[in-house]
Amino acid sequence: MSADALGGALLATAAVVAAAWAAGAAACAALVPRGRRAERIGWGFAAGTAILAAGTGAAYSAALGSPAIGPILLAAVAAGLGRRFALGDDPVGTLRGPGGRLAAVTAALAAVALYGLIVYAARALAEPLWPNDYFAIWGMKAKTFFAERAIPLRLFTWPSFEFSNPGYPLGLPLLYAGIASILGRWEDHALALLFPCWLAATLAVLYGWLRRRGAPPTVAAAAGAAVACFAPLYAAPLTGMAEAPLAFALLLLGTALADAMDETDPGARRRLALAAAVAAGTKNEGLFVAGIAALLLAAAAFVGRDRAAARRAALALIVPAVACALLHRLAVGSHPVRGIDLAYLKRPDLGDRLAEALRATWTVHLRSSWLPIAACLVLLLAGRSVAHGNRLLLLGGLGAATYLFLPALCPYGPLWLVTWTQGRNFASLAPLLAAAVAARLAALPRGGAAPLSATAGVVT
Amino acid sequence: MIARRAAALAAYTLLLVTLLRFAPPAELGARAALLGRGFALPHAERRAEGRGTEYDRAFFRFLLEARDLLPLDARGVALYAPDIPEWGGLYLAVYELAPIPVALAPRRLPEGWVALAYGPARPSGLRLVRELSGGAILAP
Repeated sequence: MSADALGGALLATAAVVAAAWAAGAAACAALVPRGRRAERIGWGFAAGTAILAAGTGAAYSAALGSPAIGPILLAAVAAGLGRRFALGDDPVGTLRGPGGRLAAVTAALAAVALYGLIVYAARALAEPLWPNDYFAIWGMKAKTFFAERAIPLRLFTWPSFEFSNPGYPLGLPLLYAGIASILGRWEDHALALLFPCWLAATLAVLYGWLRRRGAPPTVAAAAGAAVACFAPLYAAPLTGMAEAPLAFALLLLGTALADAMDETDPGARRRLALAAAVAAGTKNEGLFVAGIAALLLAAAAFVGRDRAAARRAALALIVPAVACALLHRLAVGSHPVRGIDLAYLKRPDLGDRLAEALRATWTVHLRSSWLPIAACLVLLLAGRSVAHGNRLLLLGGLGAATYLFLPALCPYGPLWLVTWTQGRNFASLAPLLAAAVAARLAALPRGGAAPLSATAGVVT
Repeated sequence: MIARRAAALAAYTLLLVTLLRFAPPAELGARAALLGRGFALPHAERRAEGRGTEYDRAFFRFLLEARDLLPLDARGVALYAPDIPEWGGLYLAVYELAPIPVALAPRRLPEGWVALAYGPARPSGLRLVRELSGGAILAP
């Protein structure tokens, strides 16, 4: 077997990812109540990848001889904290599965979700990571960090590296570099293993959260099946880039936001803090959606029913998101976002540009997909208003509305942003919006019984 | 409520069928076969045969050859490849040569840098360091 054989690289990378996942799961004892296995798996991946990225960044900052020491130390600390602040059983209690015919439907939907996961794994792993933005942005930075055991400032200050978007968060490059540091070599084919793991973690959090918030297994599995097969997001040309991790982070953010506002359990605000850090560290859009969540919490703190809960949640959200953004600026300076110029807000032709942006959105993204989009709207309208679902809907809806508007501010013309980034941004909202729609559908009364989400204890 | 449930069921069925059309078993088979073939190939071959290099596979082989033959004291590389598009082309070069800094066709070479020229055209004022298949390494 040659030194760079794929089998060995996959096994070694899988071992590193599994170890990080296990460390994250240990830390999650303090985040997710005991007994919520699916959510612990999903949040464990979030915590594990965050440990790898943050530990690697810390090791570079401290100029440690071996950057792998950073994640290992941080994992030990996180596991210790998990043990020290471990949560008890979930107040919701035991969740029962479906019986009879519904069990077969749920199993079939779970099989579809598994099929979607396998297809995505095959897409991701078929060849070394190859999308242009992986080469130009995420991979180039990560490979340089790994080779130089540092975050060289030239990547962020030299005009010739402007194409690499110096203002983008460094979470993903640090994660890639962290894995390479532990392996001791750069493996840009085996790194693709992370991507089906992101989908698996997304499905685990989606299913677990819906079940905990009262959705029947069939509805939760249906949401999972649709998300797992969502090719515009889980596609080969996006593998290696930040969209799948961002979609995961936004789902974490939305579900934790709803839980923190309702104070469902003592770990809700801790989850919100982790989700805010992961979202802000993954992509600028993550920081932006965290900002929308902060505005929602600010509104709830002034006019909501439980103002104290909203204030506590706002603190849990804002501190890590702002800390993430500040650390980035301290480390590599402040950089304008390419493709967006706020000066266009003052231009007299803003209305025309917005109309052009909407026309382009229709032509490029919506016209060919009107039927599934209409189906999503029917699903949304068929559901029933329920607070936790509406919060996710509001968060995702405001994000989508902003993505509709942003091309009007693009200096290269609205069509440029619509063509190159808007579709990806819409797609990364899919798991969050799927959770919102499923939560609303789960609130429909069943056969004259009370709405499922209203049942506090055992749900079927 | 029954109408809502029926509408939701119909809409979900339509949605799932549409989504599944974009994940056909044939795609799974083709990608699995590609992955299976990859187990027998070294990394460079997997990259060379993949999507990332399909615009000009000879350019990728040129890059690999150049990377191995660059002077050890080269502080950076100026890349002159006028026929290669930035998108999916030159950025692959920047990535493959990392951590060596790469500038795309600068007017002047910074001190300690060398030039990589792909194709028959050569930037003026530079001396030939080494001829490569499809291009050359040059220096001031």
